[in-house]
Amino acid sequence: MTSQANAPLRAEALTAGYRSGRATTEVVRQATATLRPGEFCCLLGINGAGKSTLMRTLAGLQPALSGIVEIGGVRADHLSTADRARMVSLVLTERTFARYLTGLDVVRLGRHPFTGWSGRLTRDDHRIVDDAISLTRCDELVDRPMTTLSDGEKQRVLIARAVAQSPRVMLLDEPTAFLDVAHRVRLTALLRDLTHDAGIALLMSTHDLELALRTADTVWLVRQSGDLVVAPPEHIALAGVLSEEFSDERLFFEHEAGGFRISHQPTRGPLSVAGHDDIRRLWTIRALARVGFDVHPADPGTSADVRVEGDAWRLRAEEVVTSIEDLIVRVMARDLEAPGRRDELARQEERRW
Amino acid sequence: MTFVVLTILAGVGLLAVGAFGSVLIPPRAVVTVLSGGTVENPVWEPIIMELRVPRAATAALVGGSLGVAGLQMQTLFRNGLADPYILGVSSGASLGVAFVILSAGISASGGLLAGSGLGSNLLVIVAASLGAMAVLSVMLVVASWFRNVATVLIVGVAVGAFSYSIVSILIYFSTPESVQAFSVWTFGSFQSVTRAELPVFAAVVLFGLGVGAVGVKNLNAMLLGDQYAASVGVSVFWLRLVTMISASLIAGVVTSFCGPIGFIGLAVPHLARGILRTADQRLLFPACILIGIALACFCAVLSQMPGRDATLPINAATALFGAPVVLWVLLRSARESGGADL
Repeated sequence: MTSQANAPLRAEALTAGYRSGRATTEVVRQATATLRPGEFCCLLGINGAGKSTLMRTLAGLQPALSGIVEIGGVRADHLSTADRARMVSLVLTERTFARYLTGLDVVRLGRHPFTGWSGRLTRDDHRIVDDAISLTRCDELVDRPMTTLSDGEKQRVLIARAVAQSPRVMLLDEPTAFLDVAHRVRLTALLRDLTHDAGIALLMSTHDLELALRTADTVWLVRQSGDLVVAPPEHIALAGVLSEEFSDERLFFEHEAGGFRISHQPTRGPLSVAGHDDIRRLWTIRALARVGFDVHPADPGTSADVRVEGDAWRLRAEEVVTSIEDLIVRVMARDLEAPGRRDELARQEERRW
Repeated sequence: MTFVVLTILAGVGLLAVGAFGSVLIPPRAVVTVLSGGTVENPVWEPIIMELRVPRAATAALVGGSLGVAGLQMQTLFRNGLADPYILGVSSGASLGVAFVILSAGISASGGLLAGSGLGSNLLVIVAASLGAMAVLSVMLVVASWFRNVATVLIVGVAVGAFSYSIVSILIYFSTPESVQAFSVWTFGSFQSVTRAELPVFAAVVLFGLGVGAVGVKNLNAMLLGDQYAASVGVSVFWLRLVTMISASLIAGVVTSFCGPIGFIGLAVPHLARGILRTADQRLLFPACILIGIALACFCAVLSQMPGRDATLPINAATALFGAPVVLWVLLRSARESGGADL
């Protein structure tokens, strides 16, 4: 309980949403969660579930409808803006910057809550800024104007700024949006290391479910019902909550792979695929499922419609093809020649009309 | 180093205002008179002390303060086309002046605005101040109601349009002489502030600048937007209010005493950013004062058309210089990527 009392960030029975006039819209209801030092948390949920609203409420950018937010054991609504700024730093989705604003200018703004009226940085401030820059590997970026940086580089500078604020809690609103896969992975790894090394409690919202499940210490999942589920990622996956939240008739969560799969409605006949090379077999199955076959794997060595052999594929009647492209063409041609297939296609066509 | 050059430039500008006019006075003589010495031509001393010094001081106060007010508005609204008048303050002042000049029927003397009659000049100043203050209070109420900056901006433009529509109705029903007097006022003038009025004018302008100086550190945080500013401990609401009060006070008092001086407030911040190549408000604030002084003095000399008796309206001179700057800014924004216009 003592660790809870001084937790960097704690929400208790927190209801977040909007008040306009007399009407209130509750987006997240009765959320209770704790963020510990050095904990790397991912906030998940479908678009419109209320991730941003919850984030903004935790950050103090909008008032809570009810319940409590505590920062460092102090109720957030008892903290002044300046006091909160010394404990919580933000990374938002801002992407436009003034022309002559350099990366260094931005990182130095992180010291804003600690400087006097003139904004002059002390030697300690400069050291903290330098540390933040090297921790986030921004050394080459800080001399350049923000407008000349790529989205990924801007994001790193903004993270350096948040680190320079020497926060106990860092809140990031979709920091990996607009980034390609490689940069998403790098940035997530950077944030994870930062959290563990610097002992910052970090909460980032993201749409990158697979990456979050692989890296987060804890997942905060905002459900469409407005409930907040807090658990280790594996627990969330095993409990089946992910498939409930994110799946529909076209998309489902594949528990074996820990990722999403688009469900292909089979429009062609069943097909068995065998082979010793698991990776080649996997991609063969994906190719054939994509063009509409009802594919199922067969044990190696047994008789199958398609057998993966080295760099080639062996079809029934000992026909051999050497590229995925040829494989698809030949298998589709054979599917058309299959007895009764033409009649079935004709019936499908009629139904469609 | 840059600041040394800018200071020298501002000093040269002030000296030039002292030297040029319908009577040409050698700069050395200007310095001599100002330092209490005697010069060969006894007429020079009263000209310098009674006419040129108030004019130079007015130009300096107007230029420096409008430059700062423009910087404040551009940073606050994160828009390079914002200027000190964007909140509608000068149109409020115009409305006040229009009421006095057009409807009260003081159309008899064209010399009303030449600064000859202190009483009527004072009436214009009071009317303009009332108009500016009325608009400012409306805008402050609006700013505290609406958290959204864009809404405040649109209300400002709407208030401005509303004021001008009343002005144009007044113009429609007025005598040609009073319309002439009003349009002379809209041309702007650095000569309208007499030596007696100068201390009042200077006090209000310096107060506005002082209020603005308080917000300089926090305006730096505003460069990243409202939410980042709030996250580093800035009370965005108060900063917006303080900055609006500062800029509107400056715009209001300048318009009241000198008419709506255009372009300086828009162009100076861009020049300052271009010369210093920085977004740091703590450097841009003093730079805008110095560049504003230099630019206003330059325009004052230009409008005097040295060696001639006739003078051009100040706004013709500022527009002559300001319009190309605005064009340059727009073209540069369009050419360069990043979409930043500050």
